[in-house]
Amino acid sequence: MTPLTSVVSLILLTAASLSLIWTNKWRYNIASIAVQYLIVFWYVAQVWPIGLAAIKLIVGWMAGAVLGASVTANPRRDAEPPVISSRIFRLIAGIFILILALSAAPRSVDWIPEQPSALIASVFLIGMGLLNLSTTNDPLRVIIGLLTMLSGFEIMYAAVVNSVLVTGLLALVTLGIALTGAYWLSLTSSEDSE
Amino acid sequence: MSAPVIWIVIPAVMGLVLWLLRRNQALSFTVAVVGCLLLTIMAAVVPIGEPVTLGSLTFTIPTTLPVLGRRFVLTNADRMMLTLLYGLGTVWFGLAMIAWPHRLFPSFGLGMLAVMVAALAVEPFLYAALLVETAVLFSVPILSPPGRKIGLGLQRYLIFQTLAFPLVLFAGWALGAAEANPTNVILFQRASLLLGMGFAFWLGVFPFYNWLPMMMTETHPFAAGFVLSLLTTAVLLLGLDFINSTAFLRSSATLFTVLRITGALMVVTAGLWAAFQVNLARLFGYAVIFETGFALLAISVNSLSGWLLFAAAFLPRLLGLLIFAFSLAVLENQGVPLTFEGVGGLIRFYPLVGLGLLAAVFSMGGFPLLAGLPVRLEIFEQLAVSFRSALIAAGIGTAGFLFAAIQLLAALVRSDQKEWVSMETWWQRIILGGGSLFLLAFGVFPSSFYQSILFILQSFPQIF
Repeated sequence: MTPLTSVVSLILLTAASLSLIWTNKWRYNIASIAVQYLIVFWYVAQVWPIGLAAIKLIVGWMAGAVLGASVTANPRRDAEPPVISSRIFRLIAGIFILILALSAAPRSVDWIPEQPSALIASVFLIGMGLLNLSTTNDPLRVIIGLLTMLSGFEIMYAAVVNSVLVTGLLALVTLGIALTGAYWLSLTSSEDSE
Repeated sequence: MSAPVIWIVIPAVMGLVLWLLRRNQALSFTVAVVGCLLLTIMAAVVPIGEPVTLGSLTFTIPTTLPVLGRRFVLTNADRMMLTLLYGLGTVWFGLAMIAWPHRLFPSFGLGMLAVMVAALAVEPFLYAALLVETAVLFSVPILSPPGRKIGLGLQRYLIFQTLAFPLVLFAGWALGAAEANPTNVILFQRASLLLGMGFAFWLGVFPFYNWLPMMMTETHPFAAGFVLSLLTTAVLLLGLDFINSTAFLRSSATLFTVLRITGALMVVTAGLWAAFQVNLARLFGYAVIFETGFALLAISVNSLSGWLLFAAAFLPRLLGLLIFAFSLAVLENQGVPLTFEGVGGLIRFYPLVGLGLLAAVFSMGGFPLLAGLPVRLEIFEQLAVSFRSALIAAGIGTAGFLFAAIQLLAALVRSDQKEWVSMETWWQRIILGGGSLFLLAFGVFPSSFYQSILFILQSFPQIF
């Protein structure tokens, strides 16, 4: 991976993850998830055969599609945008996580034998996932937080294990989490309509 | 047909079929109970990997099922574990017909059971993390069926359980790397740290257990009781499997010290929080934490008697949780608020529900003549020999839990009513009365009941 592609992919990833915490618009959120999984695929393809790495992309996009399809059934999804102070707080927290990833990830090479740029992306995604999980009680955002956290983990884990069975089971778990989100959204939707 | 096909694939397929039959609740519950009962009986009587003679027919059940280069292995030593897990399924599905006949329960419950058995059978064991996560995902429709709101506790349950599996996966990789390079102690330490964190999230170890009492107030108590009973039992067995498989963990004094500290903290905090608790559903959550704390204390003794106590504690723990959850379910179904105020004087209207609640809570608190006491006493004795501070913590926790039990007793009997009216159905009376008698029988004749469950340790021969 050239330094330029590393920088470009990291910028894209940062933009996608920050947009997830900036807006509650479900269309933008699903698009951000799709971009995140594209970058995950890009990083995983550096260490895995492209066919195996493509599973991450397909499953990630399928997860996004499942959430997108379910969210359309809930008419009140975009009704309450977060207040600006909340957005600014989350954005600042996200920037702190980026700084943390930039400073801590290169030192983690001792722990995980991975390219520094991939480690930065991985730590950043895990951090952003945890930030999402800790600042919301909305089922859709919880699921998006879990998917973000897991996608960061998958970049890191791909560097050390490239088993077909693990890939399959991770894909199953990713889809399972998305389906759980879809199920929760359907429950929320039926509560709203009552 | 190999053992993993019988005890993993068949129940998983049954779960799928039951999902298709979910509209016919009576049929799906009956199939789940009969299926689990057959699997329990087979696990108890049919040897695995050894010749079986049935009249003129002689056959052997193979132990291994290879899948994509990995293996699922169930040996003869695992039969007690299978009996326990499928026995648990039989009893919970059977009682669900009275306590919580929800259409999603048999299919997803059976799926959970099959995946948990797969997690215990898979080799190498690092794959177990992914299977446990799958079981957690199966539990979501049980815990949040249509018609119930998705609360913060349930969301945190999913978050904490999902945080666990990447840590355990990494620990599995680190352990593999460490075993290839045994002189590198740092790798072992990292693996232990990751593994410890993973299990802490799975078991709701202090301080990661705040979701547990919260979740209890958001779900039906019977559903939560099933999920928590199965999850904690399977994860504790999985933890034992990890210790059994890894020489470094077995010889690590630090691991057992950490287990002792966390176990003591869980017992003392759960006991003290329980003492100030006025919500029965939350009290159930603290009971689960309290029991898990005692299980960790038994493991931390790291001697033959400690392992025996760990195994022996399964039956009183599971029976106590079952009776507690069933009693709460009866009250919940009748629309009784699950608070001390809500159950005030209720023993005059629901005498056997009151008896079941009291028997379960007092048994967990280690009250004399009930099932929990023999194991508690032995754990106290073991801790008294070498770990006095843990003994004091366990004593404080137990006192707190017993205080909660006495408060419950006071709430149940406080009434101006003179007459007694039993509003339970006959089935509820039989189950609650029988269950309470069982808790008493366990306490009075402990050795008769504990002998069989000790065979579960055959699955983990390296730990002795």
